[in-house]
Amino acid sequence: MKRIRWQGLGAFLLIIVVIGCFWYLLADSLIKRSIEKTGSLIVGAEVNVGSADLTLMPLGVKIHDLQVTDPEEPTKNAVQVAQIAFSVSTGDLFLRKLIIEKMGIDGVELGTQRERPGFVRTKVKEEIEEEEEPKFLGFTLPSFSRDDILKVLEKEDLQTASLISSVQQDARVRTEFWQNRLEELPNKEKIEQYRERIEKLKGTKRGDVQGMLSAATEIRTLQNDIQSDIDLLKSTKQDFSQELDGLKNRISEALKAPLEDARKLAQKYGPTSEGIGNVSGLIFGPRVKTWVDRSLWWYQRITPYLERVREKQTGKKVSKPLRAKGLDVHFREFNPKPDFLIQSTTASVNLAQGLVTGTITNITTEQDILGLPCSFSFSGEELKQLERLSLSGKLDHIDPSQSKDEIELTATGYPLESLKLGSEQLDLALEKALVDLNLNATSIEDSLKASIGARARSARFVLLPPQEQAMIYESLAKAFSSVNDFSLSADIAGTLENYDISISSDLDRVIQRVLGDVARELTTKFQADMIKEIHARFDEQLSALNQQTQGLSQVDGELATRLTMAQDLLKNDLFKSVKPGVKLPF
Amino acid sequence: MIRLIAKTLKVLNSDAEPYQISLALCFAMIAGFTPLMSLHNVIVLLLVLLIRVNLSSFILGLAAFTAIAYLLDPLFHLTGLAILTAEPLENLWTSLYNITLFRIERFYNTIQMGSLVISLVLFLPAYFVFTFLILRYRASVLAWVRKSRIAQIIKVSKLYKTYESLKFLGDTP
Repeated sequence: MKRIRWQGLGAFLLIIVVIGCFWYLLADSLIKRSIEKTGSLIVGAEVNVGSADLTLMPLGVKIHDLQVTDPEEPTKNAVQVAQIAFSVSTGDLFLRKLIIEKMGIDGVELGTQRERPGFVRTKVKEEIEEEEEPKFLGFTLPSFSRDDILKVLEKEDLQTASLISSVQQDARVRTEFWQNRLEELPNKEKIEQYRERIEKLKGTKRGDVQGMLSAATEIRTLQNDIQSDIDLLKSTKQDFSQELDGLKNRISEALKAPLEDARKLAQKYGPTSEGIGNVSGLIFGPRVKTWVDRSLWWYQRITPYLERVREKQTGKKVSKPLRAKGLDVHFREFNPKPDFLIQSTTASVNLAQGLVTGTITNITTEQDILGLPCSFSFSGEELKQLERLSLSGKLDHIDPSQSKDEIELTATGYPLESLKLGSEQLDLALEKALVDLNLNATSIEDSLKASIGARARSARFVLLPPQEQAMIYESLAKAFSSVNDFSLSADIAGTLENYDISISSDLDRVIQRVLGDVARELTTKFQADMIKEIHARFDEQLSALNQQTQGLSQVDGELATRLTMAQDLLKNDLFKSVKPGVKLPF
Repeated sequence: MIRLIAKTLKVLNSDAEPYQISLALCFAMIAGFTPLMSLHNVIVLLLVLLIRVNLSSFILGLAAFTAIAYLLDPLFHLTGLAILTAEPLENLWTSLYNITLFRIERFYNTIQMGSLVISLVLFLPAYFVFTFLILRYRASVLAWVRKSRIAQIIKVSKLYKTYESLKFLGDTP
C-alpha cells in the first residue's frame, strides 16, 4: 500500500484557497464588528460603523461613517467620522504588530443627531453625581415673616431681657440695702441732740478760766462729733450717688438694648453682603464642574490604553492579550516596536464655525517601547464667527510611573449661545457672548492642575424669575442686564477623583454690590421689624425700670436733708453760739 | 454526528491498518490540544492529507481532543510558562522571537507552547498505545460484542442502519 496520497496535496491547497477566499469575503464584516465591539468597550456606549473595506494591495482599511454614541445623551453622537483610512505595514503584521504609518480622519463632527438612541454601558451622569453638594454653592435669603421673627426671639437669648432682669433685681436689693444703711446713719434725732448740747453750752457760765477751758473742750468735742457725722454722711452720699448713677446708666442701657438686640440678630440672620459668598462660583461653578467631570470621564477612558497592562512572572515580562487565552511572554526584540502604533494621524473636524485641522502623532499602547509621547495639535484659522482656535497637548506615558499629560486650548471670539448657568437658587443663562478662552491643564500621575482664563464680550445674561426670593430678583436682573463684559478665572487642583474648583470673576464685584444693597435693605427692614417685636414684648418692663429708682431717689433725698441739717448745725448754731472776741482753741 | 460515529465504528471494524487510525488520532491530538488557528496546524493538516492516514479518525479525534484541551488548559499554561521562562532557553526563545515565522506561530504564548510540547511529547507513546488498543479491540472485544445481546438490539437501531448504509466507506481509508 502506498503511504503517500498525492491527491491530498491538491485537497490541502484547495482548503487553503477556500479558507483564504472565505476570510477575504468576511474580512470587511469582521473588521466592522471588531471595531464596533472594541469601541463600545472603550467608550462605554454603542459604536457603529457604516462599512469597512479591506484592501490587499497595499494592505489597508477604509472605515466609513463611524458613529460613537454620547454616553450622556444617547440620542446624539459624541463623535461622528465620515471616513478613516489607513494602510498597515505588512511585514510588521506578520510579527503581530499593527503599525500604521499614516492615518487620515476626515469629516469629524461633534454632537450629531443619531437615527436611533445608542445603548449605554456606563452612564456618565451616574459617575459624576457621586459628589452631591458642590462646595462653593449656598447662599439663601432667610424668610422675614412675623412668625419667623417670633421664632428667632424665642430661640435667642436677648440682651434686653437679661438687662431688665438684672436691673430689676439690683434696684430691689440695693434699695433695701440703702434703706437699712439710712437707719445706721446720723438722723434728725441725732442732730436735735447736738442742737440741745449747743443750747446747753450757751447757758453755761464761764466766768473763771477753768469754766472757759471746760466750755472750750466741750465745744471742740461737739464740733468733732458733728464734723464726723457730716463726713460720714458725705462719703455715704458720694458712694450712693455713684451707685445710683451706675444703676441709671444700666437702665439707660436696658432701654437701648432692643435696638442693639435687633442689630445683632439682623447681622446673624439677615442677608449681609459678607454672607453672600462667591457669586461667580455660584453662577459658573456647576457648569465648570460639569465640563471638568465630562473631560475627566473621557480622559480616564483613554489613558488606560496608553499603558498596556504588563506583569512580571518569574522575571519575564508578560502581558495579557486582549482576546486570547494564556499569557504572552515577551522577549527582547532586536528592533523593538510597539504592538500597536499609529505614527501620524491627520484629522479634520467640522465645527459649526468651520473646519479645524490637526495631527496626532504616536498613538500607541506602549510608549515605553517607542520612547516618544503621544502629541496632538489642532487649529482653525479664518473660521466663521471664531477668530482663532487652537488645541495642543502631550500625553507622556513613556515612564508609566511618572506619567505627565498636558493640554492647552486657546479660543478667540468663540460665540457662546444659550449657556445655562447658576443653580437651583439662581436660574441664570448666558444668552450670548463672544468668549476668549485660555485653558491649561496638567495631570501628573494622579494629580490634576488646571487653570482657565476667559474674557467675555458682548455678553447678555437672562435671569429667569425665581419661585422664591422674588425681592432679590429685580435687582439681580437689573445688575445682570448691565453686564456686557466680564472676565473669569478658574483654578482646579487636586486629584482626578477629588479636586477643588476655585472660581473668581469681576462679576463678583458687580453682583456683590447689588446683592449687598439688597441685603442692606432687607436687613434694615428685618431690624425694624425685630425692634418692633422686642418693644412689644418688653415695653411694659422697660417703662417699669424708671420706677425702680424711685426708692433709691428717696434715699438720696433723705441723705441730702441730713447732710444739710448737720452742716447748718455746725455752721450756724455751733459757731454762732461762741461770743465774738472769744477765739476758739481750734 | 450519528453519521460520523458510524463512520468511525466502521473504520475500526474495517480492514484499515491500525497504524493509519492511530497516526490520525495522534495528529488529531496535536491539532486538538493546541489552538486551532496556529501555523503548525497547517502543517498537521498537510500531513494528514498527504500521508495515508484515516481521515474519519482524524476528524473524530480532533473533536474529542479539543474538548479535552479545555480541561487541560491550566496544565498547558503552567507547562508553557515554565518552558518559556526557563533561563537556559532564554537565548533560544529570544532568537526565535525575532524571526517572523515563529512570531506567526505565536510560540511565546504559554498555552500554545505548553499544549504543543505536551502533544509532541505524547505523540509517539500515544501512537503505540492507540495501535495496541485497536489490535486488542479487533481481536477480542469486536467478536464478543457481535455475539452479545446488546449488539442484537443495536442492529435494529437507527444508528446501525446508518452504519450499514455507509458500509462502503470503511473499505478505502
